[in-house]
Amino acid sequence: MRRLFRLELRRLLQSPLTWLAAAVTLVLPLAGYSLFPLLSWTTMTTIYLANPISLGTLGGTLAFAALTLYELSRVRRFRMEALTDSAVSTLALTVLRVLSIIACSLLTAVLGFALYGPYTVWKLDLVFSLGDYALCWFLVLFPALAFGGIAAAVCDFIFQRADVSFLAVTVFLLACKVGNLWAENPWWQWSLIKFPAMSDDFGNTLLFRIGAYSRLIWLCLFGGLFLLAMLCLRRYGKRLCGSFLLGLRRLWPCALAAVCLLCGGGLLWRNQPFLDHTPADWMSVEEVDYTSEVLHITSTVITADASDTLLGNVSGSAVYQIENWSGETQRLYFEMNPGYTIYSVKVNGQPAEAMDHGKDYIAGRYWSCELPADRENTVELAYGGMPQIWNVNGGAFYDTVVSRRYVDLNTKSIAPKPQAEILSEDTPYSLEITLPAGMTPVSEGTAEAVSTTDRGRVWSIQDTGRSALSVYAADFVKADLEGGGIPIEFYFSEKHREQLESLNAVSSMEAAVAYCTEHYGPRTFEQGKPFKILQLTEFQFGGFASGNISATMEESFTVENLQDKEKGASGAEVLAHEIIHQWWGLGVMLTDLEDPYWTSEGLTTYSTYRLMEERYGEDYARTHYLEPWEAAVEDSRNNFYVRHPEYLDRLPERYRGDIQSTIQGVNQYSGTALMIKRAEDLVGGREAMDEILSRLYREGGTELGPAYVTLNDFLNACGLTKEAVGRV
Amino acid sequence: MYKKIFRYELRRLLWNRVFLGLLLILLAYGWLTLIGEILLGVANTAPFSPWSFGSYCGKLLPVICAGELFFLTFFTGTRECRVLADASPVDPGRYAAVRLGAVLAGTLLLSVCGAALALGFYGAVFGWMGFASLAAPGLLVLVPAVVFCLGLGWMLGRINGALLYAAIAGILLVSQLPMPAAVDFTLGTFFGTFPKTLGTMDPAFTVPPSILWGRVGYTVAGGIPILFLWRRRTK
Repeated sequence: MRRLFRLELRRLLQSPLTWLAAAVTLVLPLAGYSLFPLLSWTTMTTIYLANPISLGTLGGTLAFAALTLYELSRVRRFRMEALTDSAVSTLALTVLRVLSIIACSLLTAVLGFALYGPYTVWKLDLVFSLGDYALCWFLVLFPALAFGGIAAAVCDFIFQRADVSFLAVTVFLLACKVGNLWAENPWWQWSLIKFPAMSDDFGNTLLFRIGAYSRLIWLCLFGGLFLLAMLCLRRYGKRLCGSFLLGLRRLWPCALAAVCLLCGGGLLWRNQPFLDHTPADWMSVEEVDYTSEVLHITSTVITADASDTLLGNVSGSAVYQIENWSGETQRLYFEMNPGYTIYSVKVNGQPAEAMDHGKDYIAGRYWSCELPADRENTVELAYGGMPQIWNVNGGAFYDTVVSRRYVDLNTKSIAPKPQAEILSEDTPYSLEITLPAGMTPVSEGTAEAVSTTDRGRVWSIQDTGRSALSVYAADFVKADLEGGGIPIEFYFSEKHREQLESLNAVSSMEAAVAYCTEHYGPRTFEQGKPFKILQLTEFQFGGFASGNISATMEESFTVENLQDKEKGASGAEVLAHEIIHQWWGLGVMLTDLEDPYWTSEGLTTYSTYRLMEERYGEDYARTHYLEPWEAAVEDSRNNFYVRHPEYLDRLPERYRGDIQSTIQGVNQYSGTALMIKRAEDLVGGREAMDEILSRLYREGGTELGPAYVTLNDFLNACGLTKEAVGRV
Repeated sequence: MYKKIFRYELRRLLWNRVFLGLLLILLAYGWLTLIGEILLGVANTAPFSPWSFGSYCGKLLPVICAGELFFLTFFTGTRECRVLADASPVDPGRYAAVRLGAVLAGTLLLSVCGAALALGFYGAVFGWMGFASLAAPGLLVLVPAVVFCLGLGWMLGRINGALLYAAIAGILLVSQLPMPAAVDFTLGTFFGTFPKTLGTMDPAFTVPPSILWGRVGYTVAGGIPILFLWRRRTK
């Protein structure tokens, strides 16, 4: 058999069609760079690794399916069955052919790994990760090619027609990738695993864990199907059913193995540990508020271990001091990540029963236990498990994770969160958490390293007035930003240390903080605590502000973003732009239901211009901001579709959207910034505009509520009309 | 007899999987270029303006030229029975011309298919049919480059067939490099920037002398080796 395999492999490697399939697989990634990117996120790893690999994987699956069908139908096509059957068993030959094609797909992956390596290393530079790169080729691409071959073989065994089989594989692939039924479900993705984006700085562990699990499911399913389909190989001139029954009699161990594999795959699918079971119509689910008004938390002490970077499990114990003001027994509810289990509960030292309420909702599930009528109660819990993520959009938000490069545990994933009131703002909260070595945690409280164990480093995080907190840990470097009169801590990945130092970015960011604080007002956050700005993983899909933490996405730090001239003239100025978003975008949101160009980008761009004017003078600001804005707006105004909207109407909707977003981009940044500059001239200059913006920042708008500022809010504050500022 | 040889060579060139594969790649690439870039209009002109069409042809040019050089490998491979062909009673010069003609015809077919895709797209999406105005930019881009590659490929192929693959890589590389507008192989810079310097919206198609000379240069550079080699073979 080994000799036959070597012979078959050698024959395949001498066939031009094998090389054609390999070439298609290896050329398609080139189109993924810019011509046909499948993902819209803009981290460097998404652009230079995820997009090319995605396209190569999808194309390669079909190419290897076609190759398999061509090779399997050769004997049939040339009516040589009689000859080959006399030399070697059909079954053995078929299995060897498929194995040889799998070997060829592995060789293709190795070739691609070597060919694209230097370019990827060059482009990704400081964010290149050999592990992620290798996994992309050998966990994403290679199994897809192999599965393409196996799927084609299964179809060919059943239909005995290459054309019908290829059509079946193509339809199966498309059905799993397109449409609402299966496309959002990561377990249906047998070819290209669910690939929402890739992180540059914080690893992609969860993405690859889910990918590996999905590969295991499909290995079982395809293995089972392959064995089952082998029974359909035509024998003694019999047709499908006859051959199958005959095969069943002779190859019953094969059938048994097939059933075992299929059942195994099904069980793995059903009991997947990564996604929660939030109902699909989660928006219509009425949330029950279990918070008790008669139970008050007087202290929280958590000990958690988040150092298991292999599986990402978390375990820990929690001790809550709870006052029961009702004088009656009460039910105390906890909200916890649905991947966790409460192993034991003790109330006042006595074992108690923990009840699992069993309904998942947005990566949370309620548990409860009974509290006695005593006023002072001590509740001790032991819990643990693998944190699950929200299943919406196929669990695209790969943010709750414990990995070697990143730990992200939200309030429900650190420990069970008691649904009770906090007694006072001084109620102590203490968390002792073991994290993988080399990580620095950031949370709402104050973190301090206390010891080092063989599992990692133990950190003590203290805070007051809360029943839960979030912990983000990575190779964070802290920069203290001064200038706003408030302590601001900026945490970013160690990978960007040199880059930010060479850009002198901290000075630019401090200038941005000082400028915005002085001109618009201090950034609102929890008083008495430092304001923390974090660079976080792309899988959060947008920044957020919560308490004294504000997150900015890692794509702000990519080389391409730092070279975006619409945001700033240099990398440091782009980062200042991103910091100004803390005021415009996260402090107050700029949006307008009628004007798609009125977003936080315009005012942030204008503020960046004003800051640079203050720092470097009018000439610099005119050359690097006003003139490029005017040129961009002029160019946009001259756009063919702006001048001839009748042609835009003729386009199919998807093309129209592309063109409108191109025009929209210019108008959101340069167009709106220029409009605000015109308004500045009309209201009497810079100081008058600063006063208006400061009022809008502090008080917010009126049209959509104080959290939002619409274009009308802005114009009303300026006492101007759309016509006056040229916004018609 | 030469007509027969031409038909035979052409059929050998076109009636195989390589040509079909190249054609499919060209059409797929053309389609992605049309919907990804050309649809937006080049230099603020219409997607169906001569400028946009010229830019589209320039984008397809590397694939067309790579195809042309690949066709030439058919006549320089080790399987070529040169001894038999040389022993046959045909004039080597004319035989070479017939083969070059077949390569040119294959390349022409690729170019026509690429152009037809764009014209079909213009007709189907915009209902625009003024195709005559697109001939000039199409010819300006394609003819000099195709002649250049034919001459270069023919010359390299006579030295060593493997050099043709190096030429394919070279053409693909040169197409991506930023070059001065006059010697830009694909004329991408010219189509992308020149209309904006003319000071009017939707300017008529004009070509400055520097660009014209550049294209003449490419044509001559490709034509000389062909003439030279043909004459030598004839002697």
